[in-house]
Amino acid sequence: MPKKAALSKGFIYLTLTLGSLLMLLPFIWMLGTSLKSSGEVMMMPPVWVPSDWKWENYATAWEMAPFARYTVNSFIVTILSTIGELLTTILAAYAFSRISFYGRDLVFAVLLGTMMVPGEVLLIPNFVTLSNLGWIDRYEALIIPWTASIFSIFLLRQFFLGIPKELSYAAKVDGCNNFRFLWTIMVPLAKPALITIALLKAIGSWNAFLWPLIVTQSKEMRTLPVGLTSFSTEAGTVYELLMAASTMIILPMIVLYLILQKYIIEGVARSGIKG
Amino acid sequence: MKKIFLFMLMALLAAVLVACGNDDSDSASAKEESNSNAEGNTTENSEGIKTVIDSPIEIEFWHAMSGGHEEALTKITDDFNASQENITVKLVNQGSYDDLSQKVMAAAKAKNLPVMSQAYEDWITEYLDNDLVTDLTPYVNDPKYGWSEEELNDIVEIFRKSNTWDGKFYSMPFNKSTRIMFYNKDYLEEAEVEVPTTWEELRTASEKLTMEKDGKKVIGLGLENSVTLEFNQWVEQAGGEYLDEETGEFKLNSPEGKEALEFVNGMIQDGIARTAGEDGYMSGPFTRGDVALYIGSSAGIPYVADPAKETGINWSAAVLPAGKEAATPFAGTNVTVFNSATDEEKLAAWEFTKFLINTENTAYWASKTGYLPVRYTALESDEWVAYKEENPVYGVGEQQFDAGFYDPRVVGANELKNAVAKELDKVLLGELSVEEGLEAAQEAADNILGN
Repeated sequence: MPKKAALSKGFIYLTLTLGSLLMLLPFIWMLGTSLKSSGEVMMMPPVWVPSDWKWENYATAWEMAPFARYTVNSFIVTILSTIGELLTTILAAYAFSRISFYGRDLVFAVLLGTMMVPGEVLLIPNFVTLSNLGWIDRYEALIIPWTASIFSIFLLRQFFLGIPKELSYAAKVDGCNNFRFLWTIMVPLAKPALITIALLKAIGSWNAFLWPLIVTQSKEMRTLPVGLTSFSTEAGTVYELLMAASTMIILPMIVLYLILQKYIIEGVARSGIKG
Repeated sequence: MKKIFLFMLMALLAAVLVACGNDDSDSASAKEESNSNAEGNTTENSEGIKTVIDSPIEIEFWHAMSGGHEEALTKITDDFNASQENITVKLVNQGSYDDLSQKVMAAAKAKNLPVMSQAYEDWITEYLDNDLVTDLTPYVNDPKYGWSEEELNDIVEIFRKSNTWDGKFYSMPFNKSTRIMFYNKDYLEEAEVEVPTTWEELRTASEKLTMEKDGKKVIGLGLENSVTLEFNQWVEQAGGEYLDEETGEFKLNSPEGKEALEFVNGMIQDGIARTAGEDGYMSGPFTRGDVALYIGSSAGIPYVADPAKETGINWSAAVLPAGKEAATPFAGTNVTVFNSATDEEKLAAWEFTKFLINTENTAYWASKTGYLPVRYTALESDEWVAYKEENPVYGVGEQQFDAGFYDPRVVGANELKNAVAKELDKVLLGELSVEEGLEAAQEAADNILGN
């Protein structure tokens, strides 16, 4: 029996290792390429380990654009739009799941309906709106339009609906109002869902390219993904530098994910009331 | 069931609301547009331009140059700003050409266009249709601010033509590239092949150069994936044309078009030519030694030069082989000035345009980027001559000026080229015969051109 268990365990680990290697291949290629010379980048079959490690690619890439400034901007935009989205999402999800008011489901249905509109269609009208507000080339344009997400509201509403009503009855009996109940009981319970929402938002915001490019004019206001365009021209791309820059750019997101990983798994494995 | 129906109704309502929002902003901006155009923009009478710039003024120039190209542009702009008392040009990089084009459109709608921008000819045609660009002819002819006959004719003829609409200048050439033929010197020597100068020689050379080398297969001729997108080169060489700009008639489905497609497709089907495929650009396979010849943009030279140093490929470049005629496409963008600018801003933009493409700067620009100088006098300048001596391949482009032609400048040119390329690709993949492919291309083109 133990032998059998060990065997199946071994098999599971083998499968997992192979699977993770497959997932990691692009990352390994990125890391390898970021240290190659330009001649090695295009070799067929692909070179996985560079013959001589060109660490200077990182310095060169960093010099190609004002990346220090872009990094500061990316952090400001990502942190503020994530906090903003969490606030609006928590309030809206609570209203849609726990407060009865006239036309609630109608409003919610309309909100969901707007999700059907592709973002590209909205690009120009949104630009015009922001332009009329005088927000072009300012942090407002980079942050405020992204502080609400219908998808996140929907996600959190479902999570709130899953929290037993008995909790709110008990709280009401103890004289706790809606607002306090939301922040002291619902939000802590919904932590895993909120962290999932925050992580999705942070990654989306960190990687956003087209919008920051469209609403900014000056280099001082731009974000990291815009900086990545410095390595491409109409005739080709300098892959080794692009990969060096990409490696630096994804690091913060990887760190964030590693820190938050355990909460996400918790979110799947636990609900409001311990059975 | 009822809930679902309600939900669908709501979704529809939401979509309609969003659409209405769009309409509103559209009509509002259209109204504003007609207002701003009503103000007129003629500052010119027989005495020339009346405006003077006597107070500090800053103008924005939107561009899509990155990396080394952006550095060279920044240097020219800094020089200009230092030379001017009142004018400051602010460079704004807007990402790729696609991003730039989108952004100009958004800015036009939002009524906050910059003073000037890089633009392809077909974009300018579209801007003209919407009355967004300034006629530069009065500036060119102005006794005080303009150019002499000699200075104007110093601009390479093909570029003068491509920036003229109905006899008026709406832009000036800035970063221009052409297509050239790269060749692997060692392979040609080995196969005892001369550099091909005609279609027949190109075919024979490709046959001879398709060989086994150190256990790997070398294909004679490499073509970019965009060969079907840029098929006008082959049609023009066969003595035909891709599209008649005057009549808007699609001309590829013709004996010349057939000859061109048969020639290119024949070489691919016979295995003596290949496209870049998953390699993206041909510079990769060429510098690995997988192909002996390759036809591509001169803008690709740095992407061949750097890896070739590493892989030890011995290479050079030559003018395109001629078919019935020699014909070489010239591409790249121009600088254009928007109508929404004030008279002072327009004059400032003109001053900058003159500076950007004067003999010294166009030579400097070309020697830093690999684009072509846009003035004949720049071809003789010490800087450019010295540069060519060091990098002979950069001298190939200008040998083709007289055989030059440019892309059709019709609205939707890009869409048209893409639709046609899709059908021609099917021919190269062997899914359609040459005749079927041309018919399908004709149909796709008629759809877009509304013929």
